[in-house]
Amino acid sequence: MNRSQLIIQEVSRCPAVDGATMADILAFSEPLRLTLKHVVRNGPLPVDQFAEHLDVDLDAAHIIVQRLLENGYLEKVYADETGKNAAPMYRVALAPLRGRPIPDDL
Amino acid sequence: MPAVRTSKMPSKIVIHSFMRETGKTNIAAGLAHLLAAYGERVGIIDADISVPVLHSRLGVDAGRLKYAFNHYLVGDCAITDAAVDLAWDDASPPAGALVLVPASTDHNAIRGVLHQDIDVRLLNAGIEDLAAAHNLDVVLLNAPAGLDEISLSCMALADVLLIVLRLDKEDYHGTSVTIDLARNLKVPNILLAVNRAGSEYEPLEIRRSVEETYGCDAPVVLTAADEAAVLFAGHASVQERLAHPLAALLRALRQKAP
Repeated sequence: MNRSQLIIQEVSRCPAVDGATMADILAFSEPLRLTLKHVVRNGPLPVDQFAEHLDVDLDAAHIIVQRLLENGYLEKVYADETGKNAAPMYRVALAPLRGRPIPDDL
Repeated sequence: MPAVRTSKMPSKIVIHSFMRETGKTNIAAGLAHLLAAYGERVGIIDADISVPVLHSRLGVDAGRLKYAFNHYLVGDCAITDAAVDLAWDDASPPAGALVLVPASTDHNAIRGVLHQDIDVRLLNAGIEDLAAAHNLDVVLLNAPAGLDEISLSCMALADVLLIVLRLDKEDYHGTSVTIDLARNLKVPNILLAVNRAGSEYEPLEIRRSVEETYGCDAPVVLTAADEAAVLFAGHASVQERLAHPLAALLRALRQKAP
């Protein structure tokens, strides 16, 4: 299997989540882990830059981004607030830190 | 759909330790003072919500605080509402700026953060907003000790990760785990600061041993006596700053931070 196929296989098998935690990101293989960390640090990327960071072709990047989107790791955003004048970009859908039930009288 | 944020980001230095009681917060406070004393515009955020002491290390009375980082995280205020501008009268020129975002000591505010769901993206967005409002060159993040979601998120944002450790077995092992995780996240720069080293050991020997063990620079080895001086960094004269226990750390940070 080539690099693209390996990454597509990995994202196809990853469990669906309701937002990713940093621990989820750490569990990915290096190309995905570092690309997602780059997005956390620097903000959303369009698909062509995912292709660049992952070192895969554009078709493979489309599939990878779509799988990550479907599985809850990415969310779609637009540089233009109307969403009409720009290609979509994708940022990591970070899961909220879940609050813990604490007794009211604590 | 949310819009994309686009603005210049300052250097982010994350101060972390695997164990509690390493003196991490003292070093963060001393470093912030020293950077500001050298003319940098510094922001410092106390993300160590469960141990809210950074403000007192910087001489801020908790009674002065209307809002804190806790309130920002749960959406009760903007991060700039929680920022305290710490101008000090006896600073020598060219003093920069020091802006603190404290963690709250109020039990309701601590409880609020523990109880509610928190959007961790607020961490990055808060740094950006604080930096823009105060024109900051550098932001220090006092991360919680140990490895939790907040400390991992801080690490992911770091340009420089400064790990404070003591020379005991648990911390030695824990620091190794922390460095592994940071390397997996490709944190661009990792520095170590050894604190509370016993005076019976030679600092240079400690430094060499730590650097060999972890493969990271350890520019500073502090004894318990040094730590007292750390807290008075902001009030040191120009001469005193050159000989300050954190001076070597500052030089290393200047080489590493973008």
